[in-house]
Amino acid sequence: MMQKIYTTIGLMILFTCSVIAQDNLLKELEKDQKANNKVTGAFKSSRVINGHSMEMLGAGMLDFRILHRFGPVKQGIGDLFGLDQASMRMGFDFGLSNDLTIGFGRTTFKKEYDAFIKYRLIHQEQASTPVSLVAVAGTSIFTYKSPDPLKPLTFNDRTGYYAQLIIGRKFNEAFSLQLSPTLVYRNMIDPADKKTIYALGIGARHKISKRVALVVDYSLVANGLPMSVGTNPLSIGVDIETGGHVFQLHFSNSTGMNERSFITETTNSWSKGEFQFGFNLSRIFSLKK
Amino acid sequence: MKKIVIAILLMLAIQSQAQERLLCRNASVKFFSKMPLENIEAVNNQGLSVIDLKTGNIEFSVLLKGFIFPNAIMQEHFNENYVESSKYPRAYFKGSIQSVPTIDLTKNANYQFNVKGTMQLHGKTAEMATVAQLQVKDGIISGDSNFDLLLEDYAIQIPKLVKDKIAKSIHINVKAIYQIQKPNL
Repeated sequence: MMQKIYTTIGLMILFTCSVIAQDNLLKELEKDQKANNKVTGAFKSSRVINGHSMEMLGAGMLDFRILHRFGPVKQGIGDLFGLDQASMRMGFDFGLSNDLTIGFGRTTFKKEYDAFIKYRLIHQEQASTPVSLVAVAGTSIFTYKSPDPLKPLTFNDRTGYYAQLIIGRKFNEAFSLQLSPTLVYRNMIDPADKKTIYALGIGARHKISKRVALVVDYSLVANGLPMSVGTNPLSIGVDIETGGHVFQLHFSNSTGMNERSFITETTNSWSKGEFQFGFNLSRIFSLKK
Repeated sequence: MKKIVIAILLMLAIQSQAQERLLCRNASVKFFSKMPLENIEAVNNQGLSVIDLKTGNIEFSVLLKGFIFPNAIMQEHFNENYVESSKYPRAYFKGSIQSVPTIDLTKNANYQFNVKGTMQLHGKTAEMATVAQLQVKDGIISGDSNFDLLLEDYAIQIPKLVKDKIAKSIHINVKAIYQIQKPNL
């Protein structure tokens, strides 16, 4: 009798063990499998609005970017709220690898060319790496003729540089925030200005649906501007993503479309109702097969 | 006496288990979206699969982030907008072979059978049925199957703007080379 009970219990244990093993085999295999935990999609585009975002282009991708900045909204209906005036930048960014992007563009304002190189040092990862760290260095050169024929501008006069470190984190599916300490150097300045300017960029995005997000891009200019005239650029907008396109529609007190321009040349003030409409259009092509 | 009985039972259990189960860690799962404007194809070579030949149970588990697309932006959209892989990291199939044939893994042969079960994807579960082949050739056991998934069954929405570029029905091809499970795994 006792023996039978023991045998039954033994069999039951064996049976349960094997059932458990079966249920868990796939789970065990899953544990061994290394997931790619790299965080993607912190921002919809490689720019927050004006400034670089922590996002990179993928390897072999070409981003064709068309930017427009219009006139002041407060000009009213006569100028269709500023839409009669526009400056634009056309640019191409290339993803050389998943962590390295280069790009160049030209802005109609000051007939200025610009180029940059952007490298991701650290990529945010779930459960292990809390932030992404991206370094950007860029240059710009304006090519308009000197207004004074007796004082031609040298190549040196026309150039400016910037360097930037972006520390960014996607906090959850909806919210991402980044800080970007930036240094801008200009060769030609007004006598009251400083050649080297420090700024802190703050960029945030909040998704309101899968394909639409609110974005804010602000730069706190720490020194060097004649602050009676210069203001901190603040842009507020929406990103709308439609397959290969991203539309970034926004209002801003800045019309600049490269770092030198929007950090050091913003003079309009939101508090005086001085802001304008603008948009970035990004179309991504794959250069690989 | 008792001990001997238990020991024998234990050995039998391990042995029988060892021969009954097939597993695969590198199943290839391909999907195709065919539309006049655009064809999209992606592959994942890290599918996990277990087949219990005795009960006929078949399971698959696939990491959605493991799908490789021809370009990075498609891959990002797939993960971010369609399958939402940070919320739902894996797709599962749990099913069983209908009327399990006797499979002799030592002889070269082809088997074909109906598989029925449930697919879990994007937080939704839907019934699924397909035909699967299992081939034994010189000790190599390979399985494959083809089937279609309807995106609406899994609440994966396609925005109107890209509705001409993404098929509503996605074709899936699965290929797996199985190993006989070794004891004490």
